[in-house]
Amino acid sequence: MKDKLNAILLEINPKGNIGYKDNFLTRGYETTAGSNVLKGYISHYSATVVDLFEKNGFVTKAKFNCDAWAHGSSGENSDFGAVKNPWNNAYTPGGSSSGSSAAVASNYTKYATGTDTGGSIRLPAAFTNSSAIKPTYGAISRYGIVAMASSTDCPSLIAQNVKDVEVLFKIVSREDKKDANTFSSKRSLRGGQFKPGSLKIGLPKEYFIEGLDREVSEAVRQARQVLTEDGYKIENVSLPHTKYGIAVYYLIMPVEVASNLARYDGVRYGQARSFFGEEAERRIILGTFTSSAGYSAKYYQKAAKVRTLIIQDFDQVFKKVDVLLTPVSPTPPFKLGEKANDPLKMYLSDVLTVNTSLAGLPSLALSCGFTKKNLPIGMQFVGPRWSEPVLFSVGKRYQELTDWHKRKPSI
Amino acid sequence: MNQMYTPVIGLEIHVELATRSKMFCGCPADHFGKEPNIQTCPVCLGLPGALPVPNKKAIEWTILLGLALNCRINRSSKFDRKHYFYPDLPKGYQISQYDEPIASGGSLKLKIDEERTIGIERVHLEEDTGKLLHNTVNGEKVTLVDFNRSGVALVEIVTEPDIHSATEAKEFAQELQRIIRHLGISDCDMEKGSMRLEANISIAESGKRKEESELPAYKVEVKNLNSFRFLERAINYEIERQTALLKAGRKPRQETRGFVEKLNATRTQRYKETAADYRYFPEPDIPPLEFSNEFIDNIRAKLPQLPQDIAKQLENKYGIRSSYARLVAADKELTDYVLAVIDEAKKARMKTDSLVGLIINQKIDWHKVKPEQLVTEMMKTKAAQVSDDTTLEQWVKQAVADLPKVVADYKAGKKAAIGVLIGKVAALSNGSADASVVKKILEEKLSR
Amino acid sequence: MKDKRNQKLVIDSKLLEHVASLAKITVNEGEVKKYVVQLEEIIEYFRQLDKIDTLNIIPTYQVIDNTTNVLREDVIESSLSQKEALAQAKRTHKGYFLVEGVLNER
Repeated sequence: MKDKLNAILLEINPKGNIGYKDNFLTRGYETTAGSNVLKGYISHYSATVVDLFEKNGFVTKAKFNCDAWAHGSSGENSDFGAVKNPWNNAYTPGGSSSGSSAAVASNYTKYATGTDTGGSIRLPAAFTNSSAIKPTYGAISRYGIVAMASSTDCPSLIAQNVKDVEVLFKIVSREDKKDANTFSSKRSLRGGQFKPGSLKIGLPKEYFIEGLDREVSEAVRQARQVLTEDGYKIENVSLPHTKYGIAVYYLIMPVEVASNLARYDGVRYGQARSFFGEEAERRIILGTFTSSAGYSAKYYQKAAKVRTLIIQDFDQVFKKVDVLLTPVSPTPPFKLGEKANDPLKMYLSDVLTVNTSLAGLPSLALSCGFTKKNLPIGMQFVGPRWSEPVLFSVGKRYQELTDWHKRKPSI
Repeated sequence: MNQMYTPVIGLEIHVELATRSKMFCGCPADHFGKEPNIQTCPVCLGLPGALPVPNKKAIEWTILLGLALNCRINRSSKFDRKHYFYPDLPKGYQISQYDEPIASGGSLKLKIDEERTIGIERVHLEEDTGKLLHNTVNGEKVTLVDFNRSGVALVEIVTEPDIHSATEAKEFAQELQRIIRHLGISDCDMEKGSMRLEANISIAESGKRKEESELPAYKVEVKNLNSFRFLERAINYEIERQTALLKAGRKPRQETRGFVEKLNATRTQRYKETAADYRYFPEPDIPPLEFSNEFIDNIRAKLPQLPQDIAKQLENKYGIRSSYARLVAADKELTDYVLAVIDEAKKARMKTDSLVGLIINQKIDWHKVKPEQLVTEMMKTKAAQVSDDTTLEQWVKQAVADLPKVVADYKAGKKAAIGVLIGKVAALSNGSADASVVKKILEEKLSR
Repeated sequence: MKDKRNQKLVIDSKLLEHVASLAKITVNEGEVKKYVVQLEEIIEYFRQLDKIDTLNIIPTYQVIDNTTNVLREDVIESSLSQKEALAQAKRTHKGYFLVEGVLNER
């Protein structure tokens, strides 16, 4: 069933009220993860997240298009065609949760899920004027979601405002005995114990580098102004290893990707490996190389050590402030086709989101303005692990003071 | 030149643990003889989105085995992914352990002619693969795959290359099997495939003594060893083959060979010029393991006395001959039975070795006969034999003839010496003679 | 093969073909050429990590608050039926998954 934006891969129930990115398994219905390898694959079981929503009265409406295997920042890596941005069809809605963000922004559904491994829900949220949470790694069960990079994959939630995102989050943020990484003694340690006025927000200088689009930095500066006037304390902080995030992420993530895609051999299900698209192949080859004998220590293990340094940066900063505020993308939404032929250029669009993924931190993405061309601009609140209640609080407050999120694209 | 060729052998043993469920999922682990593919789930079938959660019992049993093999239990341990493609490996990687195994640095004593100790390099935990069947379907050569066994908990035991002969290798494997069965963690059966063996064999050359030889620069891996007999034959074949090559001035090739039963020999399976590249990295889906001292002590407390030690006790304390002792010690139930019999026999002052012999040689069904019953029966039989005075007479005559000094002592007034003579008759009669009757006969005889 | 700066390339066609076969990805000549260029550029980008001092830094492979020992009790849970297990396979035979051809040894 094709829609104008190509966001929908499968409509299941037109009366439904929630849609899932197509890497979420749904019992009895096709799940492709955006790839021809899984075309026609019908799962016997649903993702834990899907089961939880169903138990809580949600009805599945559709499965949404996405970059194949969640590899991508624009939706252009889908084997079933790119998704169009409802704000301007010549532009990408961001990826890899491209269909989910387009569906929510065009009001096809109020609620949708995505995944965020290096920015894949935050970027689409920023590009489509939506609100989304990439949760603390381990907060929401990954069971039944096609794995990309196991150590940073976060099932994520996207909606039209922060209040709705929070509703969704409360339903699915819980331990699952089928996902060992959802168990932590630190869970629920940070239940909103703060006074709204006393919240300290930090702006890490490394996220406001030269090369940041002027309109983006201006929009975030305005958001800072709004928050200051409301009584939030803002200060500049530093995350010195920020610039290494892309290198670290693109060293670690492909290793885990290559591993997680090894099960697709066409024997028990799915098509043969020759059906992998180019981006999947590239990441598989890259990941196999950097973890192979003779290279692993130089590349993969070195990256894992720098990851520790990146985490330490955040630990230090969160001793000074409660929450960070940064732009989500160094540029406003870009045109379909603009970066498609330059893999490295595409990877660099993740520079403001990968570090939070490497550290397993929660991040709330929401809109903070529009460009002259009427394209959405987004920002993110990042907190320490398990600080979602704090993020929701400041996000909801911001949406009381502004009304970007109420704007709708003309369809 | 006095060239010595010393076999350098290491063993790799895989044992399926008899847990109820598989290593990383709740599917039943007992797969022997089941219809294909009826015990699988998203996890052990490698379906999209499935995640592994480790079996606590499998971990405890691996620690138990490590302790039984005198290993150091590593306080920090974890799982790793080991990557290779094969149809029986559903995820394209096996969850195993690489650089932080559960146990390492242990040893096992053999006792063939002299006591030898074989080093245990490591004991680690991993998941088993599915099973492959080579077949022809409608004229087409195919491979059929059954995943019932996929994901079953598997312990891998790797020895140091301390073994020097086929006999030692067999003894090691048998002793390991005894221990594992005694611990009750696996039926450890070569025929059922719950125990699998691989041997690494090379020959060290040296000009002088054994101790001076270095480890050879190559090793030959031998697979398809489906019984202890095959293990012995394969090793002996390899020792001969490799020694012949070395004597001819050539170097045996580093390779994998398989034992071929009908040839009673090994044959090349695959060259191993470079080591396989498994691209190990830590398993991201499973939090690491941390074992507290308390946790390990609790498991250590569950360690039963091991067969070797029980056998020694039976030998030294109860005078059971070594071969009987080892057989008895290998079976926990039988050990308990024999100890009970020994207890009863002691009360009746019967010698135990032949009683044990009866049990071992299956002259009686010990499952059906209570220990007290057995002893009473034995006494009756022997008593019936010796109610014949002539036999008693002969034993007394023998005792007197064998111990002239004791007789002299008795006649000289040391009445207590008769005890020694009674004891001698008891020994001759295998405990069946009635001591009071014997005393009367002796007294009568010696008074003349 | 050397690039503009006259440095030896980390990844050349031979290595790429070897890696692709390790990963069971078939690549034709054109793809090899393309991937070599792209991957070389990416790997060059990784060089910047070389200058970071990580001598005494412990690598991070998981971000789970140092959680350990998440284990499962040894209980049996329901399995898929044979039909369900085989449902998505291209070829099956009498309850087995079927793989064409004769395999090399593991």
